[in-house]
Amino acid sequence: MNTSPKHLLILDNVHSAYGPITAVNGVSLQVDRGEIVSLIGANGAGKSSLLMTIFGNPRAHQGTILFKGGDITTMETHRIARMGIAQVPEGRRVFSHMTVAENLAMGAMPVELSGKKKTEAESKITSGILETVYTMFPVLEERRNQRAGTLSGGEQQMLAIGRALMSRPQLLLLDEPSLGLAPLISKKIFSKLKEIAATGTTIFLVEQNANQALRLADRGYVLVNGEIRLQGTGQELLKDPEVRKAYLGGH
Amino acid sequence: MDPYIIGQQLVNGLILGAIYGLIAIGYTMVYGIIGMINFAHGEIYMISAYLTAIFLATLSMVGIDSVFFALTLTLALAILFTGLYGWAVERIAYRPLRGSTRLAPLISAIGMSLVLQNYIRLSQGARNQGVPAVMEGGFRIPPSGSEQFIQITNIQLVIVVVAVLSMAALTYIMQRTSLGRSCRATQQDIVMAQLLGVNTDRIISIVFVIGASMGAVAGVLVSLNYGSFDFHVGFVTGIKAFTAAVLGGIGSLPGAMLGGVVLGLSESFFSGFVNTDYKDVFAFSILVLVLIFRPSGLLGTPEVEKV
Repeated sequence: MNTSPKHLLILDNVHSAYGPITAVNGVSLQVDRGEIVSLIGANGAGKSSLLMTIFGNPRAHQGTILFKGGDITTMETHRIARMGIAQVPEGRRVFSHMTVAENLAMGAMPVELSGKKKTEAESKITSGILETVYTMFPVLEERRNQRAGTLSGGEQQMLAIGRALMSRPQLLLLDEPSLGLAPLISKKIFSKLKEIAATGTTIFLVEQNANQALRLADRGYVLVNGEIRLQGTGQELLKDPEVRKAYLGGH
Repeated sequence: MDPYIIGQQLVNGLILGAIYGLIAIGYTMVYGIIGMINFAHGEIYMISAYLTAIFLATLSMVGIDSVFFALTLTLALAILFTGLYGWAVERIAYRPLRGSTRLAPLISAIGMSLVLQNYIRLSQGARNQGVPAVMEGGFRIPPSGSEQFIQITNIQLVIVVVAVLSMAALTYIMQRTSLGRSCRATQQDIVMAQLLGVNTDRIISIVFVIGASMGAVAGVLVSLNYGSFDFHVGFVTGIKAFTAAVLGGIGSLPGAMLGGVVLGLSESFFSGFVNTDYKDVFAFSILVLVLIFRPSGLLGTPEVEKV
């Protein structure tokens, strides 16, 4: 296995299951520093399971997951979260009884709990991140004292992304950020993802919306029944006849 | 009706309610975070009563005479040791069962309750134990001369002050600190809290310790007030406090406090004006009525099945 420092995340032959039901069946992929990688697949292909397996829930029972060259396959979920990976999970999972500001404060927990002694420069970075998130999503600042449960779907998605950014992750995992959103809002979310990537954050995106996801991506994978079926650059996959037929409604 | 009797029942009811509220906090917080009823919680309160007797005796033996100092130290030690019991109960009886069926920890809780009762019975004896009156006196309203009055003892004042302070401190921790925020986050979505780096096992332990500490405060206050208890006191008081938690809306912290006060007042007025022997029947009838007409309690939110 090649573990050059440019690889941020490497999955090697990863298997995981929910009880007797196989969710991820021998997936190998890698995400390099600074890349945007999209993984597309139909409902039930195992996309969300794959992202959760990276966080050890469900735990991979075979294969290896490396982050920044270190083995995180058997690490506890909360420790993985303190390594510099953040996830915008399926269904957003904002804390609906908490205010927007409290949700964002929860997003900073991985840094707060990592227990490392912060240098002055580092604490400056974390203190500036809230302003960065508010600048990126002004609506969150307007609603900072409102309960997250009262936000619209698009606003909750922005909150989930903002919350994930609060720990200044090196790798951002996103699970279907466009799901259930109006096309215009979904477009806006994707343009924000581009902005986030431009700041140097590596993005691993899982989507059913293959068109937008592959356009945004440097590289892409196609997941079918828990296995990687195809891979290539975003443009290659967009042109691939199989992809067009299955995910883009082409003929 | 005689306003003095009403006033007296009001005072008694509030005292009782403060105690129920303190114990109810333990039920409601544990339920809120792992969705189980910790039936061993009443026993934790009972153990705190025994610890009070032991600490007070020890402190007077080593020659600490100041009532204030002795009480503060007893309270602190009782919280510490009872917190340890709460932590151990979770570690031994509930954590190994996490992820199993919903019924398993419930049965384990009943088992734990029996174990603790009998452990105290064997180690401390089955007879009633007592705490000497450390604080006497009180005052009457109106102050003197009148034949009718409302009696408030000093110890009752201490109970109200300590209960209110404990609840205020807990509310502050839960609402304003990062630890409290993590507790609330774990309560709402345990998986998401883990994804944000929260060690939820530790949070669950902390919740058990907090619940036990509140039970400890109640145990200290009650033994000072009534002076006598046995290994069995945790049962009825525990069930009453559980009723208070359900009444206020289980899972809701202000609900537990409100439920305690409402239950305390109803019980006290029922004893004062109707019948003392049937006060428990009355308290549990309230539970039945709440479960029929407002299953989510006074301040609880109805449980919505997540899609």
